[in-house]
Amino acid sequence: MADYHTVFIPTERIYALGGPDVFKHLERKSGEVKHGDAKKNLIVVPDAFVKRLRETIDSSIGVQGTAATLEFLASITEGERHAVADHEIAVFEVSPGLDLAYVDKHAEGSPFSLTGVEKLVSKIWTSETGRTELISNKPDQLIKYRSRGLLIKSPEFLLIDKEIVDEGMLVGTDELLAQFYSKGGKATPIHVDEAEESLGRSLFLNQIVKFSGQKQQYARVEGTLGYNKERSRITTVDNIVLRLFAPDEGNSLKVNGVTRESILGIKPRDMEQYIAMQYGIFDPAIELLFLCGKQGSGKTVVAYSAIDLILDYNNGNRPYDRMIIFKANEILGGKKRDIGTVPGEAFAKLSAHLGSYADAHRKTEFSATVPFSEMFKHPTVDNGMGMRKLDYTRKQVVSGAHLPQESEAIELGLTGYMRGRSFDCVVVIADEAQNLTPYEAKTLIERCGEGTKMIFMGDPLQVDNPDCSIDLNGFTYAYHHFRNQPYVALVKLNKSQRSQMSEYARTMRVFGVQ
Amino acid sequence: MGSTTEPTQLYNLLNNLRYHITHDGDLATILGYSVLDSLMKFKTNTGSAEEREFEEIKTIYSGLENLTQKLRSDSPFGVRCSYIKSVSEYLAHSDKEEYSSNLLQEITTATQGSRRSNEDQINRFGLAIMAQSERKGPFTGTKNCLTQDYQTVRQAIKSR
Repeated sequence: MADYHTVFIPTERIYALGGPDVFKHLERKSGEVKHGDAKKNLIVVPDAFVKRLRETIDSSIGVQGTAATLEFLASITEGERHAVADHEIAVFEVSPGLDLAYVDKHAEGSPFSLTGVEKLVSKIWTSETGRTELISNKPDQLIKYRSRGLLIKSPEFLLIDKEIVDEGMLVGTDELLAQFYSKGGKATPIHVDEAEESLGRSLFLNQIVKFSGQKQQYARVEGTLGYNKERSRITTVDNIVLRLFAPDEGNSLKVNGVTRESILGIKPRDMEQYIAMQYGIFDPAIELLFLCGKQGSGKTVVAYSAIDLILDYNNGNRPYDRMIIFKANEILGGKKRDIGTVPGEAFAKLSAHLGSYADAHRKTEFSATVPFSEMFKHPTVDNGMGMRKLDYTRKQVVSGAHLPQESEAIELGLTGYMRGRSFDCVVVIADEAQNLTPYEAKTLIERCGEGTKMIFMGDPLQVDNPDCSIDLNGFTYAYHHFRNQPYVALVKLNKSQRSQMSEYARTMRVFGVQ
Repeated sequence: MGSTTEPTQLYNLLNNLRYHITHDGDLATILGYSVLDSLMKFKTNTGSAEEREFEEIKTIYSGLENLTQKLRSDSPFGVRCSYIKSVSEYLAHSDKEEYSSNLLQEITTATQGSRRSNEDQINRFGLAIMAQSERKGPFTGTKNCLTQDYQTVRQAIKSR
């Protein structure tokens, strides 16, 4: 019998992406073990990787996965240590399915060479799969080590098919559409089992089905939700059906039983924007909305309409205290996500990165009354953004509504500063979520306390974070995990709201002009 | 639309289509139907593998140019309807067909294995072509365009 089933050497960036969950993914599960097989996998961690992880934290702020991994490694090495004879390598048990081998710097050779470590490890341990498996998401490493004959793979446990972003709206068939009318007269909902049979796939709650035709029609998977006593958890979902929208649905929004033509002047420009607002932002049952679409699809304007949820319409009786806009803070300091020194007033520095929100604010009914900058100011203390002028706190911003009397309307959050925070009764917008690593996405969502609504926003096809890709990013990873939860919805905005000039500018080549 | 000196390629053809269909999901469906319809009509006498691939992709180009023409006078729904019958009938009997197009064979093999509706699969196929084309951007050189676009369509099929 071989020593281990598989021996893995993940590169250090894998831990930044996946955090300590990497160990969970790579352990051998008891169900996988066949008679006579080795029961465990082995992860090899060279000292050089630990040093690089440490340097990453020292030089930048809040690299969530890295810090958590180091803490996890420290906790593992508290356990029983087995020295590997004649080598400066110590083995620790992580779980019944996984061991960890720490390769001291004296064993790994100088200068450090991953090829050298792989050779050393392959000499010491045999694996059933035959070869030590390196794991990296960096194309240059994949090229380099493959050309040296090493076995190196992408972190498949972190990869999610990019097509998952199309799961929010499915294509319906004429046969399914006909089934709504099978009882004659008006359309009646179809039981979800029948819909699944017709579409040849399973359906999640809150998914939309679109039927093409002279007039496009839409249907939604809905059910009767049962809650616990505190109404903080959905405990049951019964009577799950596919309901066809009424012919006039989409002409106005219904919020708290009140029909509204627009939300603070923001009117949905197409059905997808309507669905995002009606069945996402303004649906109290939806706690986590994944909103995606390319530039110009109207994501930011739609998300900003959630500001209505924090306005004080009824003397302090509001579902949410404030809005927090989270930005991945590599935009503020390049790759290392270092905010750097902040000269002058914080808002002046940060506002350059909020242009899309300022544009969205201008579309609201109260933009002439309340400047965008005032939305970030606290009514009674200087919160670093300045103190809100008394006038803006006192007067109505729109009929019957005031800005929050006891907090700022909007707080700007940076992903580097998430540690230790938790969010209760707030609307959180995680902007550019495709630039979050899977571990950062997990950490952000974990911080949402009761009564919080989160809007995860992004364009998974426009990844700027060099550690992420269209198959490996926080947006798709988080949706994949949450997609079958009853409080989750995904809406992709497919229609460009930009001018034809803007669209054609996309095709401009900025180099190689003939 | 676009430069007359640039070689014909998927990227530009798709951008031209976007003038008529601004919704990506709708565009994807009609794109998928057009590609299938074009490949169904494909015939060649060439023995060279490379020439055959070029001719397949040129057939797709031709289909997309015709589609753009149709959209000048007909609605996207009407144009889509014009494809549905022939493509649906073809897919229903595709196991009995002899394939003149390698791409068509790959598409029908991928389609047959799935329980999902044809419309859904055609939509996803179109979305995959659009995503690949967007990611790769425009190419230079006629031969390079043909080669790259053929790979784009193949990769879109394989991603199913």
